[in-house]
Amino acid sequence: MIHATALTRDYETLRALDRLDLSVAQGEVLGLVGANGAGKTTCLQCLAGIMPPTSGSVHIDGISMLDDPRAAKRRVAFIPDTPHLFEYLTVREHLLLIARVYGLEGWESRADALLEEFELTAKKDALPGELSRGMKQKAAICQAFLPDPAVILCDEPLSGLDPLGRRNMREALLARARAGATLIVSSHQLDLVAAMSSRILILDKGKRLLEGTLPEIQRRLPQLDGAASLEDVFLAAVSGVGQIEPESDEDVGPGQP
Amino acid sequence: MRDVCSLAWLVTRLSWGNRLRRFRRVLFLPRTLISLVIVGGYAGMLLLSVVAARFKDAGPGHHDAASSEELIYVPLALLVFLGFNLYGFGRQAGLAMAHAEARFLLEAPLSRRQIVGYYLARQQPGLAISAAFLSFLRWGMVPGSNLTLFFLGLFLVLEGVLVWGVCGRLLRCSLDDRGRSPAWTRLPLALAVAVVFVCAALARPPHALSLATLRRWLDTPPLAQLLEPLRFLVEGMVSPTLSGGLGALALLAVGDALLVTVALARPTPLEEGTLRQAELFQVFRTQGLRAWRAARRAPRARPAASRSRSPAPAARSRPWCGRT
Repeated sequence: MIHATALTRDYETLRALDRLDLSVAQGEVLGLVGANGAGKTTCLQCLAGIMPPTSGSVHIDGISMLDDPRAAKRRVAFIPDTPHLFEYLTVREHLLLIARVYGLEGWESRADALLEEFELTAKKDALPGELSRGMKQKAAICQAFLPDPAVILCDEPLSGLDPLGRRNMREALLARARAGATLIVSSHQLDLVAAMSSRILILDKGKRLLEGTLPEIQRRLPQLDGAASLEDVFLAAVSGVGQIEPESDEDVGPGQP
Repeated sequence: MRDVCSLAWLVTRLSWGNRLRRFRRVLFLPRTLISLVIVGGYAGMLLLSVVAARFKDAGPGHHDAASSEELIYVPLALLVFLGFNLYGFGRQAGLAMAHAEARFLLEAPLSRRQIVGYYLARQQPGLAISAAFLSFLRWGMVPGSNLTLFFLGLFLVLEGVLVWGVCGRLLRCSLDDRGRSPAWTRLPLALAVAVVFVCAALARPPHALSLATLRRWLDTPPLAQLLEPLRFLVEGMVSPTLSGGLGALALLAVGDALLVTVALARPTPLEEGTLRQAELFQVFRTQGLRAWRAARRAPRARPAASRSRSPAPAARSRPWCGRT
């Protein structure tokens, strides 16, 4: 579903992404993990077509983001860490805009269902200034889900949500994955990433450090025992303490070429 | 393009509707009432003075005198405005819009051309309101003037300045994307300054800073020839009859259409600059002028396209999106 080849993004003094190859199959949930500045947000922005990569290619459902960005973007939803909402548009009017841009027919019933699902029905006529941080995040998520995207890219999707909101949000994301959507979840909440993801990619300085399921990654860090959490794995991998064993053939994930 | 125009209109309509509704809710708060009295009083006095000036007997030659003054100074002001507009806007790449709007447009399935189209469409109500306000002022101050003609002319002039600025920003985006220096976009301003100095030297003014000297410069070649096309436009705008200004209006409309065509001619990689502009705007709104200045001076996240040893130069040279 998502296929990126040699994805590179240079800034003036920094290479944020360095020839990153990435493949995620349909219905798969990829957890994107990395320290601050590892290139997670840049990676997601390049995949979503928000930021052009310096070089490399991105294909969404077989459509090149380079050659047909409109068709590719139509399949992608991006949930940012900070919700960006128009200051003078209500929650429901944001959904109206999305419906207009994506040319959605009969969007009203779907919008109502989403507002109900995310407990925003009572706030549908509220302006962003009247919403809490968590509610704004939920409104942004409703916007992302309205066109029923095939690919959902989440950059810290649960920031600002209360515990109940987090659980509901996690269930909502997983329900979309079970329905066939492809998810990439970038987060510093490693327990959440471990619980949600079918595969994990650890980025370091724009490069792929480790990739695979949690047991596969654990096997590549022999200094850790089999019960090590993702946090232990992550800290061991990025701190450079101990060695990382080379990738074996059976460790290659489903999306790998 | 029609879709994005209707989208821009929808955003404008909804946001102004919500502003009005919010205003109604806070109307009877003391702070709002005091502000309303001050602003309303000022606007009322302005309106009254304009209407009073309109119907005051100003003599038969007043319109001609006012128009001749406008013909001398307005073309120069327009030229300077255009120069500074290209220079000022050219320093910042990307389209200037709010963060939410920029993110919404860049995430949506819209081409780069459509984003530029949306941006231009979003500015139209503001241009129309500015042109209407200034036309009304002139209508009051210059008896015998044609309100409709001046409004149309001014609207087209403002439109031209806006699109000219957008072309400058897109040019900067394009240069940034190729890793080239945008320094030469300052060339028009440098030329304009050079022309003024040459004119000053040619006119050899006895009193360099007097109004009479300035008028002499403006009537002396090459500045006089340089300003001649702009004088034609201003002459048409201030004409008392609609038929007298049709030529200028047509020229302005053609010029605007040409500039819009240039702005939409090729998909410019505007994502980086637009996002940066939006972030700077956000910093200014939330943290103030000092933080904005610091953020503006900070090293820019610019793609090091032609300077870097890019692993796939062929892919780099292709436009990222907006081919449709």
